[in-house]
Amino acid sequence: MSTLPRMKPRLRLPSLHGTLPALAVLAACLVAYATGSLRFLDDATSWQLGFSVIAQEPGDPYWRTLGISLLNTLVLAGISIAAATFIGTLVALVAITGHPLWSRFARGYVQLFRNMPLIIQALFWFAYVTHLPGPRKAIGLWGVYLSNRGLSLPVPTLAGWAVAAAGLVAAFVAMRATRSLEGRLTHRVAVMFLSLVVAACGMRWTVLANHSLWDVPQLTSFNFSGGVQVATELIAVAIALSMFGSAYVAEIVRGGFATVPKGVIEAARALALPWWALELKVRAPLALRAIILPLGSQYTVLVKATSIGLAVGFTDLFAVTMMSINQSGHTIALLCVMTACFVVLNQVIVSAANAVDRAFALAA
Amino acid sequence: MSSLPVTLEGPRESLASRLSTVAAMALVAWIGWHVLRWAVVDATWHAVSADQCSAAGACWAVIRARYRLLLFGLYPPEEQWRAALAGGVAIATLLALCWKRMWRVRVLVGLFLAAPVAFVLLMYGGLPGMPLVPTDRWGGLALTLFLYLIGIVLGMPLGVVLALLRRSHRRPIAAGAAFVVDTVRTLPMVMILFTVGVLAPMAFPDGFAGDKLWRVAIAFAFAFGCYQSEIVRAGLQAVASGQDEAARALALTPYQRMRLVLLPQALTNGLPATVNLLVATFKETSIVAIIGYFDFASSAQAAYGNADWAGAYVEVYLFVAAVYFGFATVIGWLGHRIERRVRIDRS
Repeated sequence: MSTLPRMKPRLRLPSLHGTLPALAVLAACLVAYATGSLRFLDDATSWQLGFSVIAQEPGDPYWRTLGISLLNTLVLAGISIAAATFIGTLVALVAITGHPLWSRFARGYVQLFRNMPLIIQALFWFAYVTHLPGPRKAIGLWGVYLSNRGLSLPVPTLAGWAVAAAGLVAAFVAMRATRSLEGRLTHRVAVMFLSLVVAACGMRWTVLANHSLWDVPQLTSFNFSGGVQVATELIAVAIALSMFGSAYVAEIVRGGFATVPKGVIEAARALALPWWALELKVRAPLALRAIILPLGSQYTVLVKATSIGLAVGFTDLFAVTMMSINQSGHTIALLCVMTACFVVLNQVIVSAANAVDRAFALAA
Repeated sequence: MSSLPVTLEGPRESLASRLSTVAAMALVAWIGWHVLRWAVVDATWHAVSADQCSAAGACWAVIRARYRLLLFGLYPPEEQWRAALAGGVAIATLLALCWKRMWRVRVLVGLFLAAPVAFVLLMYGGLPGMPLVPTDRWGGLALTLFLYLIGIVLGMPLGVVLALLRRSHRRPIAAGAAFVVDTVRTLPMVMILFTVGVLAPMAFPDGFAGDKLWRVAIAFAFAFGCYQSEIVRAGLQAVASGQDEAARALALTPYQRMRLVLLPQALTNGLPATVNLLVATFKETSIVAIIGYFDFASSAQAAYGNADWAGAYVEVYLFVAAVYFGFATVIGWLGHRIERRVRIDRS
């Protein structure tokens, strides 16, 4: 390993310079709290959010409503980040195959979603979802229904969760029990998988034989009941953010693979490594090291970009802060609170990316 | 792949590779055929409402019927030639910047001053033969171009000034500039524009907050300047120290050193980043749609949002997206052209 070139310079401590505004915002929040300027957060809001992950009522105080809107933002950011990473990686993998047609498709995808303003994308998907047929003519597959009321998804019942938990516990136990087989990864994975299936099926057909595992949405007279309903606003913004983000993720992943030195790959070929080992054990791990940090900063961009939810009426942190300012007039205090939330959230992402990067860093 | 890939006859296509080529071509043909049928063969070009459009194809009649709303917003119809001319001025300025003859400080400064003045004069009017059109009637693509032009023309010099202030030897000045730039760069653009555009009039008494549109345009320019200042600063840092020392040895004054030696090289160094910023900024102008301004993005909503054209949203958004895409591509392409021409020869 010591002969490998260093892939990146040593991490430097973040200078205080860059974090100065963030610290100033947090200090301003503390001052506001100490002087009682945040006392209005205990007042009732008297209005209801259009969409919220957990129930919210007009009588709720500002802090609770803002907290729920932060939860909305987190859910949106989580879905978008996961989907953008998945789609972006797929697109990048297509791009690096080097096949003239397929890699041109991938480039086209990236160009298309990067060169279009995010708001246009959000407005388009919102128009698309709201122009879908009504619940009676909903597009349905395996209990998932898409209509102009939004997306209806089946959710696991308590029994369903129990089966999943049994399988996971069995897999974990199997993994611990087969630790002696250290080098035989394929054998261990096979044993894990087998115990997962056996435990889950055992649980399903014995103890919980008479319970249904899924709560499937059912069509009632005008809408769906059962399962979970995802609002049109959330779907539109989540699709827009995922597509937009995936274009950037694809470029980051493609760039990461481009940094792998040709000599390393040639050396692996010279050792007659099979192709899958070359890709999985040489190329991918080296590329990963060039991907983690830019990916982290792309995630912070996506978190900040959730604020375009306001364009289609999604009640995220930004939108609810603006509503609260309109209603209560506490402009500076509310802006401080919102900025503090974003600053903390993004700092967590950046720190996590740095930690992962350090954990994977090659020894000097 | 288990054998060494050393072949004398060159790469050979494997069966899998050939199959995937065939699959890709089939996909292209399938998508191409459906798009062609929808967009051209089955499309409706003339209609007075969406009801008359065929359901199988695109309803391009909506663009024909609503293009004035998309391009000019609520600008008075009989005066729209002025908005069109102003848009022409903005695009001509963009094209002129790629002509190498133009790259002299005096010409560039003149262009940078003349273009926005001409744009605003044409849009605002108040001259004989051109009745006054207040800014609340501006809209559509013309408003987007206005924001972009003002943002760049005011933001570019501001970027240079902020970068120089941040490098000042006087500590408080440097720290102040650093704080302002970092704060603006940390905050989401939507929040800055919302604070300036919507909240400022609540905080200030009537008339003190200035015109609604100009307020947002100047905030936009300020944010652009902050982003650009970091590019200029990085460019200055990348200028070899020998350049400054050589200029000192020639007894140039600090002003001459900056203007003749350091800044030209710094701006050239920062050109790729500047081009990226210019493209991103054009897309960013659409943020004002969120806070209730009638720009190109929100005029799209208005274009299909009446009883006659309800449901023709795909065509409208395709048109709007194509225009944004076109501008972004052209700006990026022109930028890379300039980049190639001014690249410093370091051989």
